[in-house]
Amino acid sequence: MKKILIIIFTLSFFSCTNLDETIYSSIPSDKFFTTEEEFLMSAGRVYSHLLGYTHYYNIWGTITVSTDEALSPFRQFNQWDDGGVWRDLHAHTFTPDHDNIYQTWSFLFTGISLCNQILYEFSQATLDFPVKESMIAEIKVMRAWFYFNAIDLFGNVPFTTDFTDISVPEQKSRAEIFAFIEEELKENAGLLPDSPSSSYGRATKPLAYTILAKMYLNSEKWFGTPKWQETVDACDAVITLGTLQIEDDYFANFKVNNQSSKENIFVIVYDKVYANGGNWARRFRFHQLTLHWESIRTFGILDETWNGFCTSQSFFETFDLANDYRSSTWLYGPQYEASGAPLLWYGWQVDFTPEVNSLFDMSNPAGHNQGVRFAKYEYENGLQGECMSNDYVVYRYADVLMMKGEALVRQGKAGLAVPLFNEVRRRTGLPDYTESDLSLEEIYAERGREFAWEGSRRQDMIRFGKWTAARDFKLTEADNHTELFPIPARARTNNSNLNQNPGYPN
Amino acid sequence: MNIHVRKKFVVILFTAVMLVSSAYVGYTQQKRTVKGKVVEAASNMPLSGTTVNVKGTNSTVISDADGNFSVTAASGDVLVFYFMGYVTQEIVLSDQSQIDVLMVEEINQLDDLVVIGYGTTTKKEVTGSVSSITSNDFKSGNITDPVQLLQGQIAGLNIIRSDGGDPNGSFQIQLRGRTTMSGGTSPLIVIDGVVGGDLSALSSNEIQTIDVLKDGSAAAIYGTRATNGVILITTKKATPGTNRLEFSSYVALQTVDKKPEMLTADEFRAALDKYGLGNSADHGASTDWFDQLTQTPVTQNYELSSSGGTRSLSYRAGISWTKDNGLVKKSSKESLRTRVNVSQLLVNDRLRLDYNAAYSTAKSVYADTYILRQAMFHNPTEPVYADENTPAQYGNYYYVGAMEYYNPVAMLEQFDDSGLRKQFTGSINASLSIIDGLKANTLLSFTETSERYGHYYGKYYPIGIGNNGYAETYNNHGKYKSLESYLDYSASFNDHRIQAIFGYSYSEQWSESYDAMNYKFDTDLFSFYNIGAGAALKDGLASMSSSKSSNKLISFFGRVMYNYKEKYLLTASLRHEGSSRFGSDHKWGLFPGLSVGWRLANEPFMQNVKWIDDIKLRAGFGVTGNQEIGNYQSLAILRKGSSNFYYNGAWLSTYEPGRNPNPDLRWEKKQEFNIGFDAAILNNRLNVNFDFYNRRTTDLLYTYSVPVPPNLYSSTFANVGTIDNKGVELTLSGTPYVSKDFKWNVIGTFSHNTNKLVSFSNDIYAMDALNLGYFGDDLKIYTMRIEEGWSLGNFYGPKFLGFDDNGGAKYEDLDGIDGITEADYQIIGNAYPDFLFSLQNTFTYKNFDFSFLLRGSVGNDVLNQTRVYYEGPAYLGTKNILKSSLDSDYREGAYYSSRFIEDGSYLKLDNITLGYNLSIKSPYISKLRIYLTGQNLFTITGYKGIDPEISLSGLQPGIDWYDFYPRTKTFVLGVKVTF
Repeated sequence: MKKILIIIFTLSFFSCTNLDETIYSSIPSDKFFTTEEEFLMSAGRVYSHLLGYTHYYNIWGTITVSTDEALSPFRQFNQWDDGGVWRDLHAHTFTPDHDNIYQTWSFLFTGISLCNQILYEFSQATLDFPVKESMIAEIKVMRAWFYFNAIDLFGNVPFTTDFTDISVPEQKSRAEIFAFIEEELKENAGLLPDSPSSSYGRATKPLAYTILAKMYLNSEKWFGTPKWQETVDACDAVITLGTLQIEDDYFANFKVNNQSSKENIFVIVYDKVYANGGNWARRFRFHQLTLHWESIRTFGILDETWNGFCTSQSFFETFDLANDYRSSTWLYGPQYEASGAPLLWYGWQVDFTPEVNSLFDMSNPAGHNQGVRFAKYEYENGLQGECMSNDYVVYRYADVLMMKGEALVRQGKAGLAVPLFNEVRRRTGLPDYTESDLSLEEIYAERGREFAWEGSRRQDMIRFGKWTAARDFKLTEADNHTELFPIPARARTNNSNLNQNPGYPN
Repeated sequence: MNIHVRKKFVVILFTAVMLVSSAYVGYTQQKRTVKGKVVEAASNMPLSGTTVNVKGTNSTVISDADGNFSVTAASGDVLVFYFMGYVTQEIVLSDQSQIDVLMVEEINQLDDLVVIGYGTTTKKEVTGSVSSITSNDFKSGNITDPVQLLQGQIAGLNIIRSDGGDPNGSFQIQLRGRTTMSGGTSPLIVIDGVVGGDLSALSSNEIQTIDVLKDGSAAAIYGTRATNGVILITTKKATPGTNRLEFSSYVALQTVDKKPEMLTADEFRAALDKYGLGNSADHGASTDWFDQLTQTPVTQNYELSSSGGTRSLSYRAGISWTKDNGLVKKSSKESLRTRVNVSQLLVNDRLRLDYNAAYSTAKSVYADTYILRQAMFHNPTEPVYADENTPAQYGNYYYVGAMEYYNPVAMLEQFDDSGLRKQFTGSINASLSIIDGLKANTLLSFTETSERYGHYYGKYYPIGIGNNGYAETYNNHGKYKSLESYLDYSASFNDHRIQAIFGYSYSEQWSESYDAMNYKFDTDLFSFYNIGAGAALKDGLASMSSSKSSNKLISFFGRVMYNYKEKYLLTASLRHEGSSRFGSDHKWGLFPGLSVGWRLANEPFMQNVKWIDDIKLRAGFGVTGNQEIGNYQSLAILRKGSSNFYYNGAWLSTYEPGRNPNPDLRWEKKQEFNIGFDAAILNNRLNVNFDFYNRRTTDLLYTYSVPVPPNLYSSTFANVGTIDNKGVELTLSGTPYVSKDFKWNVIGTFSHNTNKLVSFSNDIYAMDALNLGYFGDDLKIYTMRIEEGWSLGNFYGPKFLGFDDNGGAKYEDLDGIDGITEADYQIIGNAYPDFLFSLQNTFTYKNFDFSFLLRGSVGNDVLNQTRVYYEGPAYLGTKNILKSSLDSDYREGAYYSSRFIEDGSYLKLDNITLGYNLSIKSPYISKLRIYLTGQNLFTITGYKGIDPEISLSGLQPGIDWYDFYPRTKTFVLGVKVTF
């Protein structure tokens, strides 16, 4: 007995010393990438990453609220100030510590890193499959799009294309990166499909040329080097494909089921079931952002809405409410329930008024129903789950036609531009343009009406010289340094190679 | 009662006495029979079991049940009366034949055993910083978690019930300051040698002693899990030779201590008037929302325990049932805790087996503290239930549409949230005496935990109206197996005494979870028990998930304790430990501990200092680690992405890396230096323990922000920073007065700690500052900040200078540029106290005992979130505001500043107890105790909020969040009967 016990005690000292981990509900990286589908499922992250684009704290909110087309006033009962992020964007008083600008930066550079990493995975693949080459081209075009946004918003930015290089990236100039994007797009466009519908929600040839057109269009503003003819050529590269056309109904592009639009070039594909982002920061939630608490009874929405964003009075007044079909972009005046009964809050009918008391004045805050609301995207009856199923439109064919038109006007060829503008304008109910109508001022205003809340306004305001001028709740700026956002302080803490943009505290 | 617990020790001492006496040669006189009676001084009751020895002989008898004894001795012999825990009496026999002896309880605590992990030592010999309390010192009251027993008892151990009066709340324990950024902060719990136990599954009635290893040298024997100290629990064991049944019960009544002082309906109307807001916000009713949600809860507890058996086979079994109702309606916790211990001696008493089995269940109904916040700011003029204008979809509840504004009564009534936790722990400990002085000990243990949580939001729950009922269930299953095996050798030769252990430990842990969510139910009747019935599943909107993970910990350890001439003491230990959680080249760590002691009192030159009975100087150094980081953190793994992507007309899943991999992930290490002394003075009437410590944690684990690209994610879990903590601890315990009928005991503790974040940057990871304490609602500001070189727990914001004439606030403008921006922020307070103290007094008079415990904190700043938002008219209208708003002319909106950082110093009457003990001569009942306890009866503080005692753990301590579950005053009536 005693001996046996001693043996047991002794044995226990020689037990195992193996500390390997057993993994159950995730996958060791070296066990993946054995099939075509596994590569695709990894590459698809570029597109699921895009779901963050429309979030109000992300790039869409940043480039929209900093223009005259949207604001989020401090509303009575201390709501919607959020520490001043919205008023700082709207009044151009943002600093390198601005959180939304950091979120925007993160979105873009995470996208770039994601592309680098996916391209690295493809480069390591021993497996060959039919779509490998075009998939690589797609990822490169998407990376170019992230870089295009990065130089548009921030100017000189960190640059790397090699995932294996773990050093902190150097900052490259806007011009150097411009050249990189230009080359990358031209090299890869040919490998992509001609039609957005066959490759819905992903990078296609029309997308590559649209990005190129946008780069050229802004070249004069960015570098003082006009590239109007290059703009026209890039637009023509889209037009001559013949895969796109202007929808007869303007709002067909924004319906719940807008995947049938022939006009949309590049969309972010949302779906309340399959693509709801998985978390709060990646849902398409314009309904929550702009609608009044009570408006849910107008649209039969089952989510809560937050009574936040609205448009500015001056921007709203650029619309010819009586005649312009696009005026239904806005929700204004007395509101009704779906049944037709007045929409009541506290017994008072909700009535959206264009004027807003103040952007931020605690003693005279904006009222709960001040500011005209956004309703360009169809609000789905019975919507639930915080994510709309409409696909967010990043670029439309109308933009290509109007960019070409603008480049022609700027080249002094307004005559050639007239049919392009009218092809878009025909459906609005407004009279056709004639050559003399097409001043830059009019093009600017028309772009505003056509692309309200579509992410185009910031570039337009800068390109047309409107960005620094006084407008509702913003003074005239002393210089134009806000045409670039500050490089976020947090990004500079992590990367000491980054110099701050001029005009911002270092 | 003491005798059974300390029996082992009695035997050892007694043997020692025998050895000494065998060498003694006395002279003999004529012997005769001497009779007598032994009486316990305090109770005046007979003391059975007293050893009566004729000094220098083998002649020994034991006093009987009536305290009587009879011994053969001669005049001039010395009779020695010995009873563990009492002062040993020596009486020189004269001519008398009847001797009555009064045994006085021994005050000297130095011979008390101290559990130090893998063995014991005595208080006088211990060289590390170790504190102990025994069941005799346990306070009475509504003790739902044994951690409560330690509150205010041990210097340097700060215990806060951070969830206020929530019956399901837990205790936060912090030892000697904050030593980590993200690793675990709870001390390691060891129950009867089983490492990593769960205290809440144990009834405090089952605990014999609690020992706390505080400094690094003492804790190092537990290596990687010991950075936050070690709490060693020894449960009550089988008592051979008795047959005893104990029953105890208490009932507790709670009332709210303090609630937020918001405007009443009439005051609200007056305020609307004062601020010129018209009467549109007056809904015409008068509702006290807080009263609508709360109740006067009653708690009941019943416990039963039996013990008995023979010397070679004995048992103890206990069962305890507690139903703790909460202040907030519906909230409750019902615990059932059972425990069985069987001990067996075999192989000529060389083998001792101890079986322990414990099973506990806890059934909880949770309170949603968000309803307390809603009630706090809810408009008191609103009625609770619907009127004719309420839209139908809100059911029977009055509804006002506003962002994040919900009827709290609807939230209470339409929400079920409950959980059931079951735990089984089984262990067997075998201890084999191989040769004299050499023992082998093996402990095998197994713990299985299963948890089921579920909640259901009814059709009219005001958030997510239209969901038509929303159900979610979570199931977790945990398993833990461990083996602790060691050899123990002790020997003494000449003036040298040595005790050494060497061992191996293996443990493995698994956890599995499963959860499911569904909504759109046809009826509320299913609650969450028929989760498949919801229509959202068919719509693709339900969700389901499961996961499994495991980890392992393996170690080799050894310790040597050396004692030379009872003067010079040395303890050296080493643990070599490996965890599966760290990077492949960093799995193993070495954790040494070394401490020395010098018993100054035993030096010749101290012999003349009569007022000092014992004094020992101690110094120690030890390294411990922290591995509470979660599994798989160092590996490159892929996980399923949260969203699909659209590919050629179909939805494909996405797969993404789980994190930025960090193969260099390693232990967070703490080095601690401790010096101190233990002294017993004035005839052991006063014990003093003093410690000074300096602890440095390096390789701090934290999620550091990194650049993207080259990284994929913006943060990496890595070892970077360093934190220092320094402090002193003082414990005074003594007996200022003792007499036959009256005894007064005092224990006082004092502790002071300072900390500093030395760095959180290196070549790869750069961090300037960390902003914390985020106030998300409307303000979107950070209220706290950590920078290199600063203390942790700093509040950071604008400094409030007073009000101007227009009802505006003035702030210190540091940068001289108009407006208050982040450049004007400064340190405006610190959450950690300058010092903590406690004072416990216990008075015993005849059969009565009376005790009270005061606990206090000085210099802790508290950020009062309720005042930030609701002291001022910003929300008045839709929402209610604090009464104190009317004290100033402030008219601006909610804004954070030093105006809301308050001195949170406090003094609390933590526990006050009056007890009556009765020893009854009856065949049925032998002892009876009745007591009355009050808990948390008053707090003296200048703090304006509900309670300044708030959570100090975590990186954002000292914020009094506005959904705090208020504490209660508790009144307890209890009884304890021994049969």
